[in-house]
Parts: sequence; structure tokens; C-alpha cells
Amino acid sequence: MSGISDTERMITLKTVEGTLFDVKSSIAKDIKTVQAFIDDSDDDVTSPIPLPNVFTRELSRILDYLNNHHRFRSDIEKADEEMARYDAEFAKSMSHEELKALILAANYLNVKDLLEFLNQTVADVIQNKSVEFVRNFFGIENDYTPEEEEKLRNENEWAFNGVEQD
Amino acid sequence: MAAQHPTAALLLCEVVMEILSWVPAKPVTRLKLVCKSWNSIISHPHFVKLHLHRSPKNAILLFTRAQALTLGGEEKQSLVLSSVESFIQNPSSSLDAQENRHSLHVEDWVSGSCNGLVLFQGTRLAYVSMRIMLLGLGMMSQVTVTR
Repeated sequence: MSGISDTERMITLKTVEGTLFDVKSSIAKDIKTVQAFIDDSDDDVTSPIPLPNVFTRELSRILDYLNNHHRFRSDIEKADEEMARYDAEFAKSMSHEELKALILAANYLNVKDLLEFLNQTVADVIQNKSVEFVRNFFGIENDYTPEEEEKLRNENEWAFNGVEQD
Repeated sequence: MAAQHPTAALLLCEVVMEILSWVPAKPVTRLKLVCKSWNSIISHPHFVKLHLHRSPKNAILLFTRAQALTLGGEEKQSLVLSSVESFIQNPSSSLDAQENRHSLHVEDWVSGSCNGLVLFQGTRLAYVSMRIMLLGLGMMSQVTVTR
């Protein structure tokens, strides 16, 4: 049997706030930044691994996501359906600020599948929104002069046809 | 939000590029107006390539369509773009929607395509004109070459 055994090695992760999380080594494998740390230490990790850029709220969400996905994958029959339902709920449960903070954490920790899913979630949020909404969403200052903005809008006029502004 | 928690206002450039690569061509073109650095990202060949690579999710169908303008029979030719999804759900309305349509010269024909670029060729009087359209990103930013 190659299933997860009760004796599987645990890795301890430490967030900015100092919260400790025990993580199965099979889950840690999906967190590439952590796995690289383990590989560099020749698998001899005894003390908690510090994550100086990751906050407790984000780490706990990421671990929830990974644990659930691992669980779904162990049941091939229902995997896709349940995963899709879980992902949709997961995305809906967050505010825009929380979503952005989670992207930063997933990017730093290099959790590929989650990061791609979150990026697509943001893409879906912004694709039908106005330029102004997107600036606010990302906290970006408009650095165009009104003339430059007008010129660029005219050059890309086709993209603004038939758009209802929010 | 607690003071110690970063607002994540500024996402890294590489993350922004990843996010934008999932936004379909038309809205992502609008997002050039967000700020100068986004305009550079979206116009960059590396981004265009990444976007094309992701585009199966947002695949676009291209139709050419001829319509008689008057009973006399003067023809107007147009190019119609539609996402696969909306075409399957509602073929007639996605073909008729004004915002999906772009007019073409009546003599133009599609002479080839490659990687989201479509080459139109047409004879007008004594010269041949070739127009290249980038279907993905600069869809209507055409280059016209005449000789």
C-alpha cells in the first residue's frame, strides 16, 4: 500500500506571527519553497521552518486547500466534481483584499496549482470591469495625462465597443 | 485590516502578467489604459505569446460574412469574431452582435493565418494591399502594406 501512513513525517512551519503549523511531508511537497528548504537541509529538518513573508490567515487557507485537494485526489471517481465545487466555494469565501493577500503568499511559497487557480479567479473578476475599477482593485495610480489616455483609447477603440461601464 | 497585515496593494509584475494572461483579448486590451506599466506588459511580445498559449480557454472563432447592403446588390463584407462559448450557446445573436463585427473591404480575402495573425489580401485598382491583423491582442491594430 502506498497510501498515507500514520507515521508519515511531519514538517513544522512558522508564520510571521509565530503560529506553528504541522504539515505532512506529502503536503509540503506541493509547497515548492518549503520543499526546496527541506532539500537544501538534506532532509534533516528538526526545528520549525520560518516563513518570514507568510501570515497565519494565508497559510491556514493554503493548507486547507492542499489538504482538501489531496483528499479529493484519493477518491478518483468523484475527484473532479468535488474539487470544482470546493474551488468555487473557496474563491467565493474571500474578499478581494484576502484574495490578493493569498496570491502574494501562494506566489512566495510557490504553490503552482493554487496560484494558477487564484490568478484565473482574479481574471474572471476584472474582465468585465471598468479601467477605474481595475485600478482600484490593484491599488494603481493612473499615470497617464488625459491626452495620452484619450489617444490610447482611440487607438484601441474596438476593445471599448459595446462595453457597459460598471 | 490589521496594521501588521500588508494590504497587498501592489502585486508583483510577474503575478500581474499571469493574471492578465487569463483575461480574454478584448478586455485585456482595454486594460492597457490602467497605467503605463500595464500597457508595456500587455504590449510586450513575451506577454502576447503567453496570452496566445492560454487562449484555448478563451478561443475565438473568426468568420467572414458578406451581406447585401441594398437590393441592387452592393455587398458589404465583414469579419465576425465570437468566443467559442457564446457561439455554441447562441449562434445567431453572437454573429449578429454589432460589437463583434468589423468591416472589411469587399475585395479582401483571407490569404493565410498563423499563431493568431490573419493575413488579408485584396486588389484595389492597380495595387495589391495586404493587411495583417493580430487576432489575439492587437486584433484591429492592422498593418497595411501596399505595393
